[in-house]
Amino acid sequence: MEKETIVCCKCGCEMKQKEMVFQYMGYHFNHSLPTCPSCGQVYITEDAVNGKIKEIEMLLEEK
Amino acid sequence: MKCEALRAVTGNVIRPGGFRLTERAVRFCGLGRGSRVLDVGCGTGATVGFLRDTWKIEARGIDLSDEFLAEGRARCAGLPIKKGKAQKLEEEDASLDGILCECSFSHFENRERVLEEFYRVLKTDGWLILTDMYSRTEGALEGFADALASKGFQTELREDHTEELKKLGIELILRYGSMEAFWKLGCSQCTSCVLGGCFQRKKAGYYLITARKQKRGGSV
Repeated sequence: MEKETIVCCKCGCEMKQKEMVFQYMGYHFNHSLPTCPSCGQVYITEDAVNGKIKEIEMLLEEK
Repeated sequence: MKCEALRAVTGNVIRPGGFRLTERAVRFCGLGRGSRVLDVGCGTGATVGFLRDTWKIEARGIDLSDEFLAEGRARCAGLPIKKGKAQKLEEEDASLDGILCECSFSHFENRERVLEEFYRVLKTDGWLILTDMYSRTEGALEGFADALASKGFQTELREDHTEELKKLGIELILRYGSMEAFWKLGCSQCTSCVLGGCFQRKKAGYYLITARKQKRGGSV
């Protein structure tokens, strides 16, 4: 299967995976996300939002 | 390897907070070079090694797990850790400056008996250092202090460190994708501790308590 390419809608550059720092409720954690090497725009994937990020949010909010 | 899924994140320390709470307690209690300290429930002896190497404390450890002890000795020959029960310590009366129970006290059977044994082997003004999980209900930590007082210990420091539990939770989620995945992989089949299970409960917390042995009439 071909690797999916994500292109920055502002620059047209191919996004590259980059470790990003998230901050929420006083806690920090790192997560790798597609990022534009030119303008720095980050694409937060649906998998990330509904996966690890949601899990961490639930942990911190004690839901 | 015992606790493999958890230790992929925590390393040999096998508890929330790493050595941060250990250092916090050691500084608060003024323990240092030459202090005699016993780590009860020492696991592979990570804290024993840390206290000896970094703080020059005469630390030793006991644990019930042959597997942990063998691993600790294989990692560090001569590390003074051995099999032992918290309810019946080999130490002489009033011989220790400190006892550490890091994420282990809640696993002990007959905790009243354990506290009596700790009282016996600690010197007067010796320190009992506890870090462990608890349910963050109102007055829970005050209740611990009362229980310690009934066994001759004056609580000097009582802190909530639930943030350390949450930090560990975040790391586990990032590694395994979800708490459920970690739980299935690591802790659901194991009964030797409750750390993995605490993430399944609401209002799970983590505390640090340091308490001093008080002199009682007619006792050691």
